[in-house]
Parts: sequence; C-alpha cells; structure tokens
Amino acid sequence: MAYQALYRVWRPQRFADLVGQETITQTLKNALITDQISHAYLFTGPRGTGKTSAAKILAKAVNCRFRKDGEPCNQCDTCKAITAGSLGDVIEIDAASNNGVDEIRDIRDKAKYPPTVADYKVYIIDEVHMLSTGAFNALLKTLEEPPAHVIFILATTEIQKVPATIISRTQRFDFKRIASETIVDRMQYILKDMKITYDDAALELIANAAAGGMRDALSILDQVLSYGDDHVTLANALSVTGSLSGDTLTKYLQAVDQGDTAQGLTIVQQELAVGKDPNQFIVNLLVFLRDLLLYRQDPHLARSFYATQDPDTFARLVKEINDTKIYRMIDVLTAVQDQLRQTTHPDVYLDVLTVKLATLDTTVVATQPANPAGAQAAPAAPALTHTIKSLEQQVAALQQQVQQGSGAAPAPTPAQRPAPAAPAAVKTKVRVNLEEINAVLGTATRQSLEAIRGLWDELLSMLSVSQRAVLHVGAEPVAASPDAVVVSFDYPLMFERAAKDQVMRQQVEADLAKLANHAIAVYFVPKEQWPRIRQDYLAAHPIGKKRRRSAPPASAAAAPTSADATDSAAEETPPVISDSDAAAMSDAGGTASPGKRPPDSQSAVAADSQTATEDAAASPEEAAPAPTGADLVAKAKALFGDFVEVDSGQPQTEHEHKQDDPQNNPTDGVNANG
Amino acid sequence: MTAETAWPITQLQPRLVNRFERLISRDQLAHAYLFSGTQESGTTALAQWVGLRLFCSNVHNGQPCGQCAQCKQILSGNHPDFLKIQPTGATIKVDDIRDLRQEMARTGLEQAKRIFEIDQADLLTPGAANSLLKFIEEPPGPVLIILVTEQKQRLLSTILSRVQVIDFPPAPAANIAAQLTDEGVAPELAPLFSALGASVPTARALAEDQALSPLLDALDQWLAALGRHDWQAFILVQTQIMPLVKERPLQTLFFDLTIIALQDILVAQYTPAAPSHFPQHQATLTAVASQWPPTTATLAAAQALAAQARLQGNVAFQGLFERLTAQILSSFS
Repeated sequence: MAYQALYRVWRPQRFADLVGQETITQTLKNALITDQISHAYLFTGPRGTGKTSAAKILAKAVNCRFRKDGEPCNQCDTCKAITAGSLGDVIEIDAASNNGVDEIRDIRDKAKYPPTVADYKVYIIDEVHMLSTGAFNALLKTLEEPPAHVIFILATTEIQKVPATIISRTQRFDFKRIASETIVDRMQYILKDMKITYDDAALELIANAAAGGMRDALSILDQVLSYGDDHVTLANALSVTGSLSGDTLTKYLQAVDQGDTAQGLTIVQQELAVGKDPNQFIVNLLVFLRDLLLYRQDPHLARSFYATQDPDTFARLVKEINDTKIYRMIDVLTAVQDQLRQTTHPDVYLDVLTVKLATLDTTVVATQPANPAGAQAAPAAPALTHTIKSLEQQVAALQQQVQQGSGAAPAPTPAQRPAPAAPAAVKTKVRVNLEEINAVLGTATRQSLEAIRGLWDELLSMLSVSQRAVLHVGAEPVAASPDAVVVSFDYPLMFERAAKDQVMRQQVEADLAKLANHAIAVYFVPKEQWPRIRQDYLAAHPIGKKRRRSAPPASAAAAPTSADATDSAAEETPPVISDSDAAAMSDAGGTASPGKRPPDSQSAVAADSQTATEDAAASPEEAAPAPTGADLVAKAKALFGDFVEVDSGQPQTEHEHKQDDPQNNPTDGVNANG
Repeated sequence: MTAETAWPITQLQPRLVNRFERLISRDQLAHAYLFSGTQESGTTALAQWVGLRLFCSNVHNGQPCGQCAQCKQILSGNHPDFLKIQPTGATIKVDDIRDLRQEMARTGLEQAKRIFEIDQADLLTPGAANSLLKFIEEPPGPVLIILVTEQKQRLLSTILSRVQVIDFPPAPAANIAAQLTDEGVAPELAPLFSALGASVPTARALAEDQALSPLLDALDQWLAALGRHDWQAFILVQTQIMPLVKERPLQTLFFDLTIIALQDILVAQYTPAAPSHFPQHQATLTAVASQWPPTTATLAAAQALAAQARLQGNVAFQGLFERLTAQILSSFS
C-alpha cells in the first residue's frame, strides 16, 4: 500500500518509544531483565494509549535473543517477523470477532503445543471485553496455569466488562491518558523526522483535541498534513479539528458577557454554517475559560494558544469578566456537554446555551456589584421566614389534631374520660369498636395469641390475592382470646380498607374457623392506636386487683393478653409505650435485667428468698420493698427473655411474680437500676 | 457536458472535493475515513465520487468521466470492488460485518484497491462496531473504508480514533431548494429541510404526498394557542396532533419540527431579522416570539430538547408532548 496512516507508520517498536506510560514500560523492562515474566497480562486504558503496541513489543521482547536492557533488538529475524505479523508463535486474536467459546477452546487446544520458532508462544487477545461469558469462563483454567511456554496478553478499553475472575489471574496494567505535552513532543519528533515544519499552536490544538489518545492525535495530524504545503498551520488544524479560533471565542465571550444575545447567536450560527463541530465549540470554550481563570492567578499558567496568541486581547478579557461568572459559565457548559452527546439538534442546544450564558449575565451583574453578600441573601430571607412560619402553623395544627385524637380514641372506654370531641374526631375515620376489643382483651391469653400467630401464614395463603395484599403488609395479630383475635395494621389506609370490607372479614373468620376448628371473631385496629387502647384498658382494669379477686386459672388468662401488653403494664410510664412492637418492649426489659442479673445467680436467688433481711444492705434491690419479687422477675427474664409468660402451666416462680402487682414492678426496676 | 460541472458534489462541497482530489493524486489517501454530516450535505455523494475518481479509467482534469465501464458500474451500484453496507432493519449486525471482513481479505477483482462504504455507521450494534475495530485499524489488504454517519457522537470513541473524521458543512438552503424543486416539492420548505437532519427522508416522503402541511398546521395552531397563554393548547395535543402522528417516524419528525420552531422563536426574540425555517408560518412564530417572555422561550427550547431525548428512550409521545405543553404554560405564571 502506497500510503500508510501515521499511527501505523509510527507505531512504537520499542518500550522507549511508548511515550506517556513510563511506569508501565519500566515495570515490563525490569520483569524482562530479571527474567520474571508473568504468564498473563491485562492491559487496559482509554483508546490510543498504547495497549496493543505494548503487547506487541512485549511479545517481541520475550522472544528476542538479542534483547538489551529489556528492549527488543528489532533487527533479528524473530523481531522482524513479529513486526510484520508473520510469526506463527505470536498469535494476535481479535476477540470482538472471535468471541465464542469455540474460538477459546481452539486456543486452549493449541496452547499445549510448544512454539515452533520462538521461545514463547504469545497470545495477544485484543478487545477482550467482547468475549462472551462462556468464552471468558472457558479461558479461566488456561489463563491460570498455562503451559510454561505460553504467555497471554489481554488488551481492552472496557475493563468493567471483564470478569473479576479473569482480572485476578492476570497482572493488570492501567494505561493512562497521555498528557498534551507528551503528545506535542511526540508529534514534534515525528514531524522533525519527516522534515515538515509546524506552528506550535497547531500542535497544541491537535493535542488538546486528541484528549489523551496518541492515535487520535496522529490521525488528526495526518489530516492536517493532507491539506498539503509541508507545513502544519494553525488554520488547517482549526479546520480539521472543527475548533474555533481564539478571535471568535473572544468575540463570543465578550458578546455573551455584555448580554448581547443577538451577537452571540449570530456567531454560533456562522460557525456552525462553516461546519464547526458543536462539541468542539464547548470544549474550546471550556479551555478558554479555564485559561482565563489561570491567567488571573499567574499569566504563565495559561499555556493554551488562546492565551499566548494574542496576549493583549486576552489580558483585556481577563479584566472584563469576573470569576463568579466564569464559574457559572463552566457549570452551564459542562451540563450542556453531557446532553450534546445524545441529541440530533446540537445547534438548538448551542442557541439555548448562548441565551443562558447571556442572561446569566443580567442576573449576576444586577445583584452582585450593588451588594455582593447581602443581595442574594436578602431576597431569600423573606421567602424563608414565610416558609418557616407556615410550617410552624402546620405543626401547631397537627399537634392539636393529635391531642384531640388521643382524647378521642379511649373515650368510649369505661374509663370516665370527658369525651366531647371524640365523636367528631372518630367519625372521619373508620371507627374502632373498643367495646368488642376490650372484651377480647378481657379474656386474652398468650397461648391463644401464639396459636393464632402460628396459623397466620397459613391463613394468608388461603385468602384471595387482593385480600392477602391487604393483610400482608404490616398486619399482625396483637392479641387473642380463645374465640377472638385483634389484628393491628401498620398503615391506616390498610386498616380502613380492611375495616370496611365485610366480605373479607367474613372470609378471614371462616378460614380461621377452619384452621382452628372453632369460630374465632376478628377485630381490626390501626397500629398507631393500639398501644393506647391497650394502655387505657390496663388503666381501667387494674390487673393485679382483678387477678387477686378472681380464681387462679382465670387470673392467668386475664393477664393482659400478650407479653407486650403485660410488659407495658409493668413498665407503666406512658412515654415508654409508644407504638413500638413487642420486641422493643422486651428489649427494654432486657436492658433492665442485666443490672440485676449479676447478683442473681441461682444461689443468690435462693439466698435472697431465704434471708432477705441479712443482705438488706448488700445491694439496693434487696433493700426494696419486694425484693424476692423483683429478683424473680429478673430470673424470669433471664430464663424466658420475655417479661411475662402468663400461663397456668408455668413453674411456681412465674406464678409468684405474676401475682406480684405489676404496678410495683417498675418501682423495683427503677430502684434496682438506680 | 464538461467533467467539472458533471458532478453535483463538486458544487455542493467544492473544498472537500478538492481536498480528496489532491489526496488521490498525491496518493496520500488514508485507509479509513468517517464522513460526518447530513445526507443533504453530500456525504454519500462524496463517497461515490471518491470511488469514481479512484476507479475511473479516464480521469480528466482530476474528475472522473462518468462514461467508462468502471464509472457506469459504480453509478449503477454494481462495481465488484466498491461495496456498500447498509443497515438491515434497525441496525447493522455482527453478521454483516463478518461478511465484510471476508470480503476485505480478498483482493480486488478489477482494481488493486477495494472500497467499503458503511452507511449509517451510527446504527452499528456494539458487537458489530467492536469487531470492526481491528480491521479499520490495520486492514489486511489495500482497502479504503468510508464510514458515513449523521450522528458522529453515537460512534465508539475507539472507532473515532482509528479513522480520519471529515465534518461536512451543512448544505446551503439554496442547494436544497433547487433539489426540492427538481423533485416537485415546494421550494419554500427548503430552509426547514436544511435543519431537519435525520428526519429529512420522512419529511420528504410526506411532502411528496402533500401530507406535511397538516403537520405544520397543527404545529402552528399549537404554538398560536401557547402564544395566547391559552390552556386550550393542552387539549390540542390530543385533538389535533395525536391523530396525525400515529407512527414512530412521524412522532420523531414532529418533535424535530417543534424543536426547530421553538428555536426560531428563541432566536427571533434576539435577532428578529434572522431567517426563519418556516416561511409559511412566519407570522405565527413572530407573534409568539413577541407574546412570550424570554425565559419562556429558553425554557421551552430546553425542555423540548430534554423531551426529545426521552422520546428516543421510548417514552410515550403524547405524555411527553403534554408535559412540554404544561411546562410552557405554567412558566407564564
């Protein structure tokens, strides 16, 4: 072929030529010098940074017999054959077109044959991210322990598509984007070799447009050269990269800065009409603005040709535009840069951008010079205070509602609370039938509740999908007597739906009856009201007294329903009883117990019960009015985790504790802890 | 006819033709190019011209003759060494590229060099694009690969770095107007067509059936209502616009039209003298431009662009358009 692209002609053939990746080349050279070559390498990095080149050089270096300081000689037959791509032992595979399991199997099968000419068989698998999952996995074993004469070099631009199992079996090298200066140096070297003169600014522009890819840079340079004239001119470089001249950018920024939108739009349209690249427009603007900022710090920092070409104009512009505005312009530009990638209307984006940049001006300039600090705060303040005020009002209103609501719920209970507001508050929602629920609570037992809970999942599975949906989320039985159950709902909405749906209630009752073999009534409560209902019930029916009056078995049953209910009764302090669940309650109990537990080993308990008075001074809890009871409670906690297991079948200690007035327990607990 | 005037592309893109003529005569042609620009700007025409210029057996003054056997074969699309790959369906698939690679491995039948033109390269599937990488970097034989695209930004950066990108300046409206007149389409549509980009084929097919004007009228009505700050515009989406844009290409086209119209309004607020893309609906656009506050015009254009991006992500047209309408209307308060 008569003409070859620069990037092919100037493909590096030695590690020294691979510019911009000194760390990697040095590491590889050292490995070669000390003969510590790994069997698998993974080269990754953006396009045009030298991955494939490094792979080819490495393939040459390991096989070259005249290697010097880790560099291949490029003179011997092996080197020449590898450079020409004709050596059978260096196999370059395009993984993008050979991405199936079959191709990898083929590699695996052939890898076991020793190399024919060279010392090592080198497989260069390029674009390795395109391998299929099956292919990657087929490669794993071979990659981990290949025959001694095989080296794998994988190269990819998209490391995130390579499985971790592959990465962990290879030595990974991350190629970096090449710095503009390095690209410029390399182009200078090439051009000098080709005896072509150049404008410095042109090379710099090309290096910027290449964005870290050497191949991109050489492609562009190639095009600029194709414009002819054996001289790389800035004008040609501008035209090839689609970049804007410093002059145009200056005019544009001045127009936008002064709010001259019309002028800005005209410039955009003119530039697009001659085929400038909208993306490049934004990139150029960003570079230009960056240089404006740098110039302000130190004129020598602004290195781009925009600053150096016409220093006077640039210096003037630096004075004209203020920093804040530059920052905001950069923000707007970066936002647009992202969007530009997707669109088919880049021209409209640029128009919108221009208007935004130009109007940015009026808002900033209007507020800033007049009162830099206060101007922005001042208009914000009234709005803020207004918002705060309205929020405060809302909070007050809500608090009021809550208070009314709390008065309302227990109103119909036997507890003689004045409840004038109650009906109004309750009417809006579905009514909770407290009498029924209190009736359930009156005969509730722990056992029944456990029984119902055991049936609950089965019950749910018997319901239709829509019914199950209502009961599935946040609904659970919280109390149960032998022939009734109270179900609480986390979400008021669900509660309302369930309470209104008589069909569902009947269905649930029917299913429960089937499961439990006897009729069970179902009542619903919203969870937020449940603690209060329970608490009010307990307040209205002091458990201890009731139990003492009633017969022992009844008293066992009468103990407030569920563990948490008793629990809450025991730790009477109202704020503690939020709508937290039983677990939280027992946790609270649990925290109380350790304080008492240390002395309460088995023997200690026995000693306590026998000779309480002797040890009266030993610890505060023993000094308390009901020492035995408190210790037994602690013991029960230690044994069962939960505060109270109210059941006739429980051991004697439990009975003792149970008959202890729950109202007294907290005092004990407090004493014990305090 | 003389050779210089024979090829429309020499008038449309004289500088690019000169450049390629120089490259070919100096034998400096690279192996892979990307022609980036609208169909109207002459991308495929230039690719054809390059093919003619390379293969013509009777080049005169740097221009192919168009008469010889080679030229005739290319012009009729039958040259064995000038292959065109076009999308089959919505994409160009890996199999198409696999075939291409096999072709590339063969030497030319009648010529030393072979030319491969890949149209609408932005429609390459990721797999296809990746399997192209190695071949456009170092093709096995003497080949010239020309990728043609209207949406360069959609190509892989690894492809872009391997090719020489030629950005085509958009075709002047006058050229398009002449072309349209030739095809029996009203030349007043020329400015619009020059801005439509990828939707041009759809629009042209409509224009030939006289079906474009109802779309433009609906747009006109919608904009006029928006100009009056009239919430009726919201209803118009359902009643006037939706019946016209039942198919996907039409929806894309309508969005393109809307965006161009909003751009016109935006530009007209600052440079009233700027040429409009809708000569027939100029009055409405000018009126709207004067009725809207500048913030609305900016917002409308920006939101329309954002909505179009969503349309490409398969969000329903009606929802997007109604949202846009509501956004514009509520910006007045």
